[in-house]
Amino acid sequence: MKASRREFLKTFCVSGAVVVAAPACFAGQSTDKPMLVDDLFAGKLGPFVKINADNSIEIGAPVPDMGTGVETSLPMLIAEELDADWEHVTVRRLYCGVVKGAKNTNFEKYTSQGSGGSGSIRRSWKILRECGAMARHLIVSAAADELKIDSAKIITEKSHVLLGNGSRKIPYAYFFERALQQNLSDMKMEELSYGGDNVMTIGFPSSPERLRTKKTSEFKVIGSGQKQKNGHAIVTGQEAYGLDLNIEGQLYAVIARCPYIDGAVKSYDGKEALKVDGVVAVVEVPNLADEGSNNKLNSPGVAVVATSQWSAMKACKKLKIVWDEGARTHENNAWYVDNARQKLNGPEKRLDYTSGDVEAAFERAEKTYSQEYITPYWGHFNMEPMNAAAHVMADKCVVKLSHQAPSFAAMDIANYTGLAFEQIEVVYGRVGCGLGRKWSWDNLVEALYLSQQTGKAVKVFWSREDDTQNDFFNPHSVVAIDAALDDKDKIIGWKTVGASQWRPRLKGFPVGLIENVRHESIDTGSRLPTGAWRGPGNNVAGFITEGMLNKVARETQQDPLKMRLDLLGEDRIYKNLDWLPFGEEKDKKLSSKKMKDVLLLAAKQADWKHTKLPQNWGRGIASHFTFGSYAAFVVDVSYSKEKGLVFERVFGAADCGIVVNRLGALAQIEGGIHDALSTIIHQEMIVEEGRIISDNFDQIPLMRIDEAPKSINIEFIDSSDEPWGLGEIALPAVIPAAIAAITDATGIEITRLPLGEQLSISRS
Amino acid sequence: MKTILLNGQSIGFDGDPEMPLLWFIREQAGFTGTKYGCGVGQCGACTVHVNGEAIRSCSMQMADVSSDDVVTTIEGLSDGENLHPVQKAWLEEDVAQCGYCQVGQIMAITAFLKEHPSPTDQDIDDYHSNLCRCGTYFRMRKAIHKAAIYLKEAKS
Repeated sequence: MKASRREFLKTFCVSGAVVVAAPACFAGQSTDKPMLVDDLFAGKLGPFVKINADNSIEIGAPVPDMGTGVETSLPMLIAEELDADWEHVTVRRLYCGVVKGAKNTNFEKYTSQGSGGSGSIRRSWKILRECGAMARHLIVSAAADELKIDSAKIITEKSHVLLGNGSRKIPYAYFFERALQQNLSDMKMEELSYGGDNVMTIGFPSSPERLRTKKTSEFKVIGSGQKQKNGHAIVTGQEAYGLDLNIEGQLYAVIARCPYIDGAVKSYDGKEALKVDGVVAVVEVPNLADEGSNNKLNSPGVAVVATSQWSAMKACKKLKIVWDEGARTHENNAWYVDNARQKLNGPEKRLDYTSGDVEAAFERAEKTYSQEYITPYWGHFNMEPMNAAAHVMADKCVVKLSHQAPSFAAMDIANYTGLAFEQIEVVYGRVGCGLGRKWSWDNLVEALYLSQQTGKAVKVFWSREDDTQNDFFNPHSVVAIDAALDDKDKIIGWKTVGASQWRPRLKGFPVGLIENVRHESIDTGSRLPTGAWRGPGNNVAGFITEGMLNKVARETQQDPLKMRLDLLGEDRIYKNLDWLPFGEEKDKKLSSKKMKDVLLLAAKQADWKHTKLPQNWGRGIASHFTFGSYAAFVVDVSYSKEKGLVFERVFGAADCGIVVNRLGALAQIEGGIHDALSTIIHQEMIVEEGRIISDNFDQIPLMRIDEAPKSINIEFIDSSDEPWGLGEIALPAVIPAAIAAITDATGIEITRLPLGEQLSISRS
Repeated sequence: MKTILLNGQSIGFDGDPEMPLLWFIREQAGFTGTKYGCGVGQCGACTVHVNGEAIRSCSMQMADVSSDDVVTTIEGLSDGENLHPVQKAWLEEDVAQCGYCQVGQIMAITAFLKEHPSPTDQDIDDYHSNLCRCGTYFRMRKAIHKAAIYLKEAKS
């Protein structure tokens, strides 16, 4: 069906920003004047591609990069289909924004723009390649017009049009202007909803070949290993992070936030603060959550607003505030464990899942094993603390900040201010690590509120202490597991009862493969704010489930690799019972083959069966499936009185489907390994009398280079399956592999994180 | 009013003597390559050179910076377009993930390599303590060894 001009306008008008950017094309609505590329995309070949006179190509990167490498890997998807010369591609951070679609629904424009759930590649994979293909199609059409040849005869390679079997090469730039004049009146903005995303993007219902993408076998850029395009800016200090972004004429704010869980400001005295040079105002920041909401939006507090950041920082320390300590002052680290244990033994458990006959399995079992696992609250400790600058005006709002999902920030701003998306300007920087924390909008709402209160642009600075104490933590959990074994030491029954604010995701491997299973959970009722933290729910699940598997293997003197391979059995697909972000129901599956393959590849690299470890060394293995990808690790540690615990070597394998950027993919696995090992040693938030006591790196130092492994060997399974993600894949499997290695080296069973006293006992 | 020599520019300062050097560099002089990480000298994101020595600028007050001091930040490290060998090694090993701490890491390592021109892994463990939350230490260690080689080549 060919879209009429009226239909086209209707579908295009909903994407307000385009209307604003290209008013010319709507001037003569009643005529049959074609829709030109240049009118619609203002000097670009579609949303992302601009070709410069020197034939270098600028590609837009639509998803914030918090260290995941997506400002390189996503442009690689576009470059692949465009047949761009990657050497001469530059990348530009590009905010695409949000538009209203049918039924007043919010749609992210062109592609999903949030970075989380290991989903950036997964969610952009199809759309960005199609945008690259469209840009190539425009160049090829322009070349065919110009050279008066059949476009089917045109070959493209490395930003050149090839003629005469490659004897003549013409740069893309030569055809760029003509490509901008191509007619795109068959283009429609299409509303796509998949895997929880709503995206409005370009479509060609009448000429789908414009978006036709390559076969896997044709990939040249995808699958290569490319250094980050932003690398030079980073090492020269030129890269702008949220904290480096300013709004002209802004004031600076620092907020003393209530440290108590569910607490509030009772009274305050700002007289001394107001005497500090440069201080403009002292403003109370209330709880800004909707009335009746039980979830924390922001910590209420008192803000000092000043003409310089230092004035605000200094004056904030002079505030005298009396806190309403709230009703949670009984919460502390010991209470978390005692309370959870009480709940575990209480009557209010919820049945999450059951299969077979668990009681019968335990009755006929030859052996049973029980274990309790405890994980503490973990903080994010992003190197760049939270920050946001905002200027709310009557008909416009500008925000500049560090955020994992600027399109969602725009939706939050629209809700909060009542402004339309066209009136909202969001500028984000490179994100100085996010790990899930920078998807929330407490930083943003504070800046919006203070801008409204002062009538000026306000930049809110968070100190490290502010960032640590007002975090949304990975939830504490206490989980009891029972395993039942038959006379051949095969696991025939599996029971878990977990107490937490959320449920650890304990229904992955091996649960679907055990005949008799029961999962129960119970909310601890703790009120410490929780939020996404690298692999939510999976991050602790590996420690618990894989820890129990390793315990069973140890107790029954089975090889932990062989035991896993036996459990996985023959190749089969079975249902994934846990949450899968950005996937459809059909994607909720687990492959026993893929899990076996990553285990075998990790084991092969480590020479699992034959390596003779030095004295005082230990070795462990574990695997985990997280958000669509499979990973397995073998970790070697040593333990001695002189050096304590040393993470000696890590061997690993991952299957994420197609690997887009091999170097970046490796970095994600390496990052996950470091985070896992750092977490094992260092992560535990301390709560006393209902407030977080930990505040800076002197209390929670996190891993430095001296504690990091000096040997890491990772391989990816060669796959042509559509890609999933990697950012959160390693950590859940590395933790249990390292824990098993520590037990192997020391004989000490580790059932609680962090290691703390469990290990130091043996030092004496 | 005193003048501070920062990246070869003389910049006047008559503000609060208690203000950390970090905020002078970022807010007054506008060199935002130097980052804030902890404010208590624990993470090293704010590392700069004062008279060639690596200093955590969040923990040095302006009162302790004299007009005779030479302050260098990442913006003054390279020689024009020519990257410093440490920056070059960092790029070649593709060290950065989020990159926020990397400027501080680079400033710390350039000073470290003057004291330890042929560092062992043990030297690195003993003397380099900047925090990277993304976990880039594996590549960083390779880059440090590579930078040491480049620096020696440049001298010979």
